Amino acid sequence: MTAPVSQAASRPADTEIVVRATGLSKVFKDFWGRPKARAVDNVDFEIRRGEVFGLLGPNGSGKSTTIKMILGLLYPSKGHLSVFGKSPRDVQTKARIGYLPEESYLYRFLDAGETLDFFGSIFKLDSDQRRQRSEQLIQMVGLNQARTRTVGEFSKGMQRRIGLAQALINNPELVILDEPTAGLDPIGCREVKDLILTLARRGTTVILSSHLLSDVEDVCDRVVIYYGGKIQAQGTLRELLASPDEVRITAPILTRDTTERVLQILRSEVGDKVRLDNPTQNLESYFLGVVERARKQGETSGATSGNAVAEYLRAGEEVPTNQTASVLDRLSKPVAGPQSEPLVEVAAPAPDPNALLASLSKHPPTPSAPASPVPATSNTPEAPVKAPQDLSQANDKLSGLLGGKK
Amino acid sequence: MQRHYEIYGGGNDERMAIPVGFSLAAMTSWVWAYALRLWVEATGILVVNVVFAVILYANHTQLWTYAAGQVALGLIVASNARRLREMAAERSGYFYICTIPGRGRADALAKLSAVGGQPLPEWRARMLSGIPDFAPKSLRGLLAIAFMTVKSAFRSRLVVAILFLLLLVVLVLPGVIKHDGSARGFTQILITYTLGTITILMGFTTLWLGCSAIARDIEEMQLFLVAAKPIPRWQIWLGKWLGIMAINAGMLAIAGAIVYGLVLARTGELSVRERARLKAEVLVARALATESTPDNSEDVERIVNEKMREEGAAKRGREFVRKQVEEQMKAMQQVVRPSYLRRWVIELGPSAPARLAGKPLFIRTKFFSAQGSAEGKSFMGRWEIGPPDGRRYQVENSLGAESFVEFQIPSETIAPDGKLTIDFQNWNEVPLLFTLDEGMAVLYPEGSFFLNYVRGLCIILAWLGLLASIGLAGSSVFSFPVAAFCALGALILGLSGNTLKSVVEQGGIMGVNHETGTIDKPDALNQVAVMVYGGVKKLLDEITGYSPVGYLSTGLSITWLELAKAITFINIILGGIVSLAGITALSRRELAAPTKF
Repeated sequence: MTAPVSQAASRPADTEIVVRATGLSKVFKDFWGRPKARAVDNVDFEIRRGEVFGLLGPNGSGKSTTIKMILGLLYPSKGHLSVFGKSPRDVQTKARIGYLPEESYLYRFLDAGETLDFFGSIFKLDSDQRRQRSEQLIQMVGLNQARTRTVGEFSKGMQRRIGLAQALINNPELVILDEPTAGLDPIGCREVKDLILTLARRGTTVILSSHLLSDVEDVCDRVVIYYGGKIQAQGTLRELLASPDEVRITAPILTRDTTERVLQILRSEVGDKVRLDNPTQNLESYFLGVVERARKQGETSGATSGNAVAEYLRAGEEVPTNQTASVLDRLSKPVAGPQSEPLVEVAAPAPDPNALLASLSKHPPTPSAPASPVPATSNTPEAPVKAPQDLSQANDKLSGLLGGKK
Repeated sequence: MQRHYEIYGGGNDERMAIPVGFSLAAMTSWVWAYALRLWVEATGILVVNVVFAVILYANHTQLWTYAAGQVALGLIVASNARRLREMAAERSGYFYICTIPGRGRADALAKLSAVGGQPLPEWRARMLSGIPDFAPKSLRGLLAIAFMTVKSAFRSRLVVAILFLLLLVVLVLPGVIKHDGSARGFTQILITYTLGTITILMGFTTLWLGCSAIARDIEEMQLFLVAAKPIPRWQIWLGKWLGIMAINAGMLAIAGAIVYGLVLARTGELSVRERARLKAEVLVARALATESTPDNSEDVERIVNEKMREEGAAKRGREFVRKQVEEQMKAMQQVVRPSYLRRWVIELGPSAPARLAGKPLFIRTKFFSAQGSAEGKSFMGRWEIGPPDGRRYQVENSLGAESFVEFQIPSETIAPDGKLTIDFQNWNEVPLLFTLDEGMAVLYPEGSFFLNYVRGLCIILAWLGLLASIGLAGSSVFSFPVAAFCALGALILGLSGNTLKSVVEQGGIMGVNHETGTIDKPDALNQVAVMVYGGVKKLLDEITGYSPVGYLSTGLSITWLELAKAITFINIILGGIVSLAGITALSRRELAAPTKF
């Protein structure tokens, strides 16, 4: 491993290790036994209970091979891999795992209910349990209106939804999601991310493999970044993405005079490197608002925005009341303020914030406020979003780690 | 009585309650469907009904066969009543709301109204016909795979297509096959052709299903997902096998029942005398008794000792001389020279006189002319059957050579000690040869045709089980086309017993002397070939020995013991070895690795 590999100091050392890979390698051979491709090369990592662990990397970098080894579908050529302390091929261990593959590998002639019943039977669930869980999952993934259609008739996004449902039928302790948001509409993406966070809150370990860096950034505690079968970087997102030499201040709307004075103070400290703009709403929140309006006007035969996370998946968790509502419902309600964490916790030298705030408080804003940052045609809720600059910075940074590719 | 009702909703807050489970009213099939205004379903059922009736009428069947068909159709409709009503409801724009337990439709709808039309969470789940709770937990995965395999075959229309072909065979074939004009000949040919064709058709279907069941699932990645769940690979394999066998059992039962019905229907059209004859000769389970092989070892030893004293014999070796003497003794026992008499004594057991009193006994014989081919020729002879010191049944007849011929004898010919003595006097100018194994036998009834027929179908099913194992084993290792090729290769090998036989008889595969037809000095290669071919031939002879069609068409009994032996050998021993190889291959296979061949 060549790059910044820094295990999170925040991670409790006594937490159970769910997956441990030591010197893990996988070499694919041709018919004559000659090495053809080294898909995974001497990889070490640990995944602990309750973590949301991201696997990142370009195509063919070894992410899926690693997942398939964790599932016991491929056998390591070298090294050691354990899941819940046992071999990945151990049948009983698989009862604790839920898996959403990158493509729909479901039986095309079954409908949604039959699919879940089939997998529930494989997990040895009783018929009542299968029925109740199937129903909750179908509601959760928003396929209630399409329940009598066979999987073969589903769109790609609907197939992802039923795939996600089957991955959760056993109430797993470890969920492996391979590209869970691929093919999903923005509402579905948001719901999947919420689901991942809900699962993580109740102690479920989640392994997420995705090309969508924003998805990873939204939900993952730690990530590994693969390239050429090797881990190039590993650590928490904060460790990997923090800019130690920059600081950002967010404030309510200021008057022109106040703004000028703040800028003046800042320029006196750091010169012309100060940048000022209005935070804008991202496209996801805007889209969710539009769809919410449309939903109130009519029905659809396709997938709908799902309901609450299935009840059995929330068992034992103290969920905030707004978490049990659908994403659209939650996003429709006003919230106290932005939930995203401001990036101020940096070790770099910065202007004294107390002095800055003291300066700002002396000049209250005037009634002539500037134009609203929210488009006038939108009734968009105040979603917990990060500014686009955040995503672009994250993408730039992660792309840099992936070998300078964007 | 409490039962579940599926509530469907439509426009204008309309509600509809559809009972879940078997519907007694739906036993009336199309009448029920029309009464409920399921126009499409009702018309479909009616069309099936009419086609069925026309086919039965064309086959001159009796009314009860139509009634039996009606009951079967009623059962199918009644079992699927909910699905039919659901389809009709969804076509009319209704949609599923919930499933409510209730004492009746009105009760279920009232319960929903009582909660303001918003179903309670526990009502939302739909009733599914999955694996029942009484199934052991450890086997639920296996049963789920089996259930899935059956569902897959049905929904891919494969079962429907094969069933259609099977029905075509059993209903059309009897009308086009040629026979000797007798009721016996027709029935024999009917059983032979229909069951033979069914076996071949289902054999290929089974191989196809077996080869595709695992290989296709691997290629389309479904198995990839299933194997990531807590189910051992051996259960996946066995579940597939069970699923295929369930399909086979269902299709064989339907086709077999129709053949049985046709045979009985045809019997009903015969005169009383013909019917009685048919029931005595074909539609019966007859045991076969033969003369026990005499122990000639003392005589052989004595003659060998005498021969060894002769000049030249010692040079050939004692074993060679012994073999020659044995062959000579065997020939003497088999050949009946002109004007000579040959006696067979067959033991039927001490209880035979009472057990078989008044029942029809048959002499079954097959002989050859000792002077060249006599196919199609007849030979005269005189038979005296019964105790040598008592009243004997005498008959003079002319019988055809080189094929089995039967003639009836009275049961009183059995001696009080259970022995049946048969004397044959050769009235021809050529010696006749009665082989020791098939030359002379007595047939006597020991059971009903129905049970015999069921046992015969069970042996066919055992065969299909072996084919399913071969197909699945192939698909555990190879891709679908390669597995299909290998399985078909194995089947062709199984059917090409003559090649194996000739290799063994000529002593190898290379350097055959065309004058003698054998290899003079077999080298190591030929010796190995004989060993391998001989082993395979022995195995195949053992398997092909269990051929139920021939037994059923000649009214020969297939005993429970024979059925048990067939299942043991075909499924447990041979099928077990093949299955073990397949399961091992699947268990060791990296399912996510690309298929190499």
